[in-house]
Amino acid sequence: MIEAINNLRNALISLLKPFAQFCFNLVKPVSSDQAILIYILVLAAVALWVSTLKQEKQKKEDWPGKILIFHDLRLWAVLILVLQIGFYVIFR
Amino acid sequence: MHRLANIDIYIILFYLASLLVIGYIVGRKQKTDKDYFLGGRNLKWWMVGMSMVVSDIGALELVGVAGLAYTVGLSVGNFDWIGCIPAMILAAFVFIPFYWKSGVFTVPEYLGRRYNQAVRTLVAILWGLFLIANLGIFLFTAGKTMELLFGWHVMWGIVVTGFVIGSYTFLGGLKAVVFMDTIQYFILVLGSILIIAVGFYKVGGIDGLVAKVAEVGGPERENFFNLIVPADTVQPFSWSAVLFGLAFVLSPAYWIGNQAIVQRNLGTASQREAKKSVLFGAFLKLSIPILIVVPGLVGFALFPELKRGDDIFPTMLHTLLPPGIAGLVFAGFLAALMSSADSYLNSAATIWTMDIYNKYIKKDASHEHLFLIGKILTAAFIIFAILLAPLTEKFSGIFTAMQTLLTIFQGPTFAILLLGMIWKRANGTGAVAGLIVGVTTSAMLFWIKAGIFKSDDPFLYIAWWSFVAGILATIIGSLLTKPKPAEELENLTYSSKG
Repeated sequence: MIEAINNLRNALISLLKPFAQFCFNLVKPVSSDQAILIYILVLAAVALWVSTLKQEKQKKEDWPGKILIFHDLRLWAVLILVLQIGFYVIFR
Repeated sequence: MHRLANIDIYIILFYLASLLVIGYIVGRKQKTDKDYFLGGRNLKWWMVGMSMVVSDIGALELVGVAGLAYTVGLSVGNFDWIGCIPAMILAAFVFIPFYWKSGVFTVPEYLGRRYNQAVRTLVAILWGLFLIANLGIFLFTAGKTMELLFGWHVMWGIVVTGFVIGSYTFLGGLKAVVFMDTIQYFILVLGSILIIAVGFYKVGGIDGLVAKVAEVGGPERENFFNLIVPADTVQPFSWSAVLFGLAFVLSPAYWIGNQAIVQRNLGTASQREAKKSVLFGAFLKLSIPILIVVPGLVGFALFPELKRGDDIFPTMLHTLLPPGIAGLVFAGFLAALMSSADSYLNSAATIWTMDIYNKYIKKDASHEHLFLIGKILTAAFIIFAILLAPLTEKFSGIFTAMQTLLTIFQGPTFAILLLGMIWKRANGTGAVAGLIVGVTTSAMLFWIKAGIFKSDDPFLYIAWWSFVAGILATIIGSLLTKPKPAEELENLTYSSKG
């Protein structure tokens, strides 16, 4: 029984190993600077997507502040993502 | 062994007593299940934002992430940056509106409406068990820390912590939990800042930290100050594992599918408030690597001889800080622990009340009756967790396996949640297939991980592949069977959200 289980395990490893190696070979050559760039691109893509959504403004009479631009929640989301990109640039 | 001074113990006891009083005051006007489970739907967005963040950090993360930073370095910070921020933004603008418009109490309830009741029950049981198991582990962590610092028997620490958390959650429900978490956020931040400040002073600032790590770190810490770790490392946090496993799967699964998180969003007054709470949480998250990871880095420079990285936070706490301040910071540690435990307790009670009791035992239960059942289950679960907690040490292998088993369902659960929201053609048969195939893939990869992964602990890669398997199985299963009628999908998918 134990031998059969081990055989099954080894068979699965043999089956998946080439695919695992293929995936590993894809990511291995990526340098740290390139990896940071990929992270930044992901964050920038989210920021771009948020900016394409419809406006998220509150009614003017319900807004206690004076700076109307901050009504829009999309702006806050983009600001957070820009800050995050900035941190990755600083701490890379 | 170093113990806390009397003044520290008085500060901590005062803090614990305050929690009980506040829990009573917050909870005394509650009458229905909506009050108890969703805070009457009038929670403030900024409180919910803080509550989400402090619950996410938790004591386990406070100890565990500081410990990982001690061992592997700055790369752990990715957990709170790329591993949180994009998922939180997506949650705010895409997923929170679904939960809001469908008027559900729980994530399984949403899945039940979107797919079928089999999916709802399966996910409810998985999450219900996960939440309760974690509760026992949280209490055990508190008990062990109190044993170290107070000299108490571990069971005393478990009982005292369980009693306090259980009492204010029992009395005040979600509103009390969020209120306490807000207070606990400030204490936690203050505690971390104090430890960082004293730590940097002792090590000689940033220059002293870098010089000390270079001196004692050795070759295994050559990436200690690097945020990005190459893919061919044996560490679990290579750039590719973080991106695919964490940023694309586990993080969205957590921020979009974790009942303890979603429940808070549903407790705000409007959809806009819910979105604001998540965005505020994302803003706060930007500072978390500094508050949690930096103590681990500084800790290595100061105490490089520790055998276990997880000991660094308690060691810094009782070695660096003077009496009085140590008590305050320990209160912060307790705060982090309680904020996780109270959330999990309240969410477990919610899931078992709404998705199991109300679904299978008493379908026509009134709101008042469900409120009562929620309270009874809260009391029952904390007692159960107190009894379960000591077993964490005795049968640690079982608990580790249980944690692993319960964690590996997150990828497949997220797969069916995501497809359910964005693809109208996904149906119940496909979702059940996705869950089964995804969880089987996780289990299989854990079994053969040593043979195919380079990393010692490839759980992030396993999360990614179980998610991919869950997506593929859901798509195939759905395409091979009949679609759900369009009229039953009103307000439940992205294209029909209204």
